[in-house]
Amino acid sequence: MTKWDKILIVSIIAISLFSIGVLTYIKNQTQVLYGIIEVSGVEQEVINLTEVDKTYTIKVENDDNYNIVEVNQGSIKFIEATCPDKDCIRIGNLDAPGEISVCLPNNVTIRVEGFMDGKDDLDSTTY
Amino acid sequence: MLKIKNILIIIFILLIATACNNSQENNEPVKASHNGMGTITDFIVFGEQAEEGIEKAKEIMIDIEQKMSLSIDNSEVNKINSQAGIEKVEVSDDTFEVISRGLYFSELTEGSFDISIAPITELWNIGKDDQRVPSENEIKEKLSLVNYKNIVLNKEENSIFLKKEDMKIDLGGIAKGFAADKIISTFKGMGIENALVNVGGNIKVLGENPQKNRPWRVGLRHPREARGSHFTTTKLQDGDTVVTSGDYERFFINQDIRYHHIFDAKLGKPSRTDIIGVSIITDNSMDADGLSTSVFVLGSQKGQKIIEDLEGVEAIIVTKELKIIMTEGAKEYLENVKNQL
Repeated sequence: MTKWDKILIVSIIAISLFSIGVLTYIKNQTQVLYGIIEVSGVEQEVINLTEVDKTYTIKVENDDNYNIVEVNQGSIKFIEATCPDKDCIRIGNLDAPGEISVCLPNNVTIRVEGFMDGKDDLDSTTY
Repeated sequence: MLKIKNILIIIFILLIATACNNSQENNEPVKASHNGMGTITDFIVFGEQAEEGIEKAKEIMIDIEQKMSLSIDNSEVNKINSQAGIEKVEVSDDTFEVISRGLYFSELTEGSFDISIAPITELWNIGKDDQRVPSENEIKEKLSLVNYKNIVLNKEENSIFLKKEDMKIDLGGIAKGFAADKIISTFKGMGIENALVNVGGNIKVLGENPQKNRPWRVGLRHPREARGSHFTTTKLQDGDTVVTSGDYERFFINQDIRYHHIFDAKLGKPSRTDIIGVSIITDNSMDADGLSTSVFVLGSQKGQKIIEDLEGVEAIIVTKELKIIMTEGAKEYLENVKNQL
């Protein structure tokens, strides 16, 4: 083995260990996603999307109008609405922090927010 | 050639090392929910016996519901109620224990908390379609049936007798706490070391969160924001429980007055004190359940006083002005202490 072989081996080990470190770090930073439903700008529901087991739907009513929201693990979307244009349904699945779908005629908004599983992660909340 | 071989061997070893690293992450909890006792219960359980433990916990909850629910016709509580003014009814140890503890809170609050409140809650029906503000006369009439002193316990026979006809008890105020206690002690008996159970807001923990390698962290509900939002975080140690009572869970507003589901049994009306939310931290979830309701009904001054007289019980109170009042010991549980929301 020449000197260069040794350097090569040591560098491979170093790079590998570094990669393990980075991967572990990323893994521990798993993101928690929240789906938020608002009616006329007021929060109605905050759903931890990461913990959704089975897909279900929520009927959101605003006066005589309604929207039906489908909640999936990690995502949320409008699937039915009384509004004329159905733009809210066309937007489709929201699955990343910051994504938002607004049903203007009915004044219903759904959006996704993410929190890094770090400082503010909770195991549960009282109610 | 030899060099390449060496390099390949090293890469192979590193791959194995990475695989080992991944298998260590196997410390995943089992998470499950149960729908019963008029609420949702969430479980987070670690260890090999997690699945089995959760199955047992669900059985415990179904059993408690069978005994204590008002919506199950042949529950023990309904039997007691149907025999009110007629004869005593023999009950299980569980039901007897919950009723006796209920009476303790009635004595502690001098009747502001009363498990015989059911005729009044049925009159208002808060949270149901036909909720309404009843007349003073109706309240007065039903209030004559509400008196914990007319509940007669016989320990030898394990029997309960309601002295007055049409009297009715409702264990909804403490049965969830009882369930949380029973589930956690069952987990412990099975050798489960780390778990969290949330019975409709009654939270009790065992051990810590081994995945995060820290104590269990539980948010206290913000009384004026959506469910899931919290105003502070508590760190719970092995065996701790936290329960919150608030005026936001079931209520209706009529002529600017908020009528909520926690009644002052002396008045026959939703309590109207300076408190809008109170959390109790202690080691017995049934006590925490009863005490959070008691403090809520008594108001911050009297409420704080009864808590301070009790050993190992802490309270965090949110007032109408969104001020936070807490017992000295509560600060040790909180991550960020504020005086105002």
